[in-house]
Amino acid sequence: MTRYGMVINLKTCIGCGACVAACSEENSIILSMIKREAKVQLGTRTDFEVVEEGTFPNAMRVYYHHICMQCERPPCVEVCPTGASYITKDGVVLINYNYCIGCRYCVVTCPYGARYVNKWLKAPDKCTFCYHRVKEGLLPACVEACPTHSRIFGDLDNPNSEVSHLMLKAVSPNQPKGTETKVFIIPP
Amino acid sequence: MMENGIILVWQHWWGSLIAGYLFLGGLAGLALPIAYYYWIKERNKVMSAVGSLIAFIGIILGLFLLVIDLKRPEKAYLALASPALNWKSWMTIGTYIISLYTIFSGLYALPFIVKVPSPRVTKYPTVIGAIATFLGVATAVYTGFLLGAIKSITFWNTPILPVLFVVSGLSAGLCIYCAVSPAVLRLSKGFEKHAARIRLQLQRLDAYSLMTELFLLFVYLDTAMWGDTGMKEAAKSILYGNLAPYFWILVVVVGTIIPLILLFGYTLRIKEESKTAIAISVIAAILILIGSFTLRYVILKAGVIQISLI
Repeated sequence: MTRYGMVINLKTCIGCGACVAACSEENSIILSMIKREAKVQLGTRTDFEVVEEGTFPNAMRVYYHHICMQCERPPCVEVCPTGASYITKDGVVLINYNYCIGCRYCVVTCPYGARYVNKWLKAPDKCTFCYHRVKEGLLPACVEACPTHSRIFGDLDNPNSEVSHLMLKAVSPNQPKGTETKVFIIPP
Repeated sequence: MMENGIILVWQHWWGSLIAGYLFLGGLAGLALPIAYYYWIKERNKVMSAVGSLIAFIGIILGLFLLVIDLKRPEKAYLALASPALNWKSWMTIGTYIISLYTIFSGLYALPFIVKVPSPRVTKYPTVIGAIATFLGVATAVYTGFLLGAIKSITFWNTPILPVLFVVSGLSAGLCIYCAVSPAVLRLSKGFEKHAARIRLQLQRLDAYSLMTELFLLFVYLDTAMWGDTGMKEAAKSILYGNLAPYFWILVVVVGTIIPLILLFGYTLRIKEESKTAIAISVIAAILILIGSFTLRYVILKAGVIQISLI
């Protein structure tokens, strides 16, 4: 079974924002929607947070990524009343806009703040792992755009894939919440 | 806001419309059970009519608020009839409970308002009322579970929240009763002598439920202060943060303490029915309703999602 997943390597991320721009371009989200002062309240499908950690001489800048964690047991799907939020056979959490009534229960429930309300759709929106591209054998837009190969995408169940090797070095940000994410992070 | 490697995102998607819906759900949900009590105990048609009408109007108003809060209100029917309906969601269960409750509270109100020439007129409210009472309590409880099922907001994800909402709904349901029923009873033939007794009964219960609510609120906020970051931040914002004015002035003073003073200091001491007693009851009721609504609003606004970055 294919099980799509992603590893984000914070050791190599340089915080250029190419992933955010590529995502916005691919998914027609206008970049001006991002409010820098309130960037955690996502206006985009993916974003990153600049955090300065430590004190001199061991100080460093870390770029924490925000993206849908594509949980194995997604709370958003559990609470969606109409079944508009669903999980595909290959493990990608998607929204069926024909069924969405815009109650925002899923937005409130997401423990990773990965959903936002899209003004034009009048409904929640989230990262789809660029499902339309992946189905045609392409990589997600953010993965393709990353200049330092910090976002790695592939099949977690394929033992030969790069992502399944890197997954072992990475952590899942969500262990205490028991949602079993399919996005893994290599800490800085 | 960044704290100890955790990002806090304040819940800003649900606002006063949902607070109003939760408030009306609790109020309407518990107004009918009280009416049913007076039907079973003393076959009081006036009380039943008043209670079922409060429930019916309240729940329809609540449903209206719920629908206009949706981003796609034109698709609201999907909450009941979506082909992929998710029965694990409290919103689906709640939508069904509320829809059924609307129907049954209307059915229960019917024989008290329209004169139905039927010999089984006493059996009908007993049966329909039992079902409606169950659905009404379920409605009030569900408003707590709707928030309680949200795992990301630990401040809501506690077992005490549904209890608090039920008690708060009870005090709101009782107070609106105390405001309306004595006046209606006085005007109804053959029921005048009950007016003072019923008002005293309801107001005594209302005063106790207000005190219970205050105690539960204290326990709720106190445990939150000892909880994780999200709970602590939520409790802080209520106790001395940006929500403190709403909480202390509208919920505690206006919604609880002043009504308690009015109830214990005046209306509960008057054993006879008078215009002043009714007027004070109405004032107390309005204050309790303000407090009850603000309580929902404050709890909604204090919800905070804590996102751990790794």
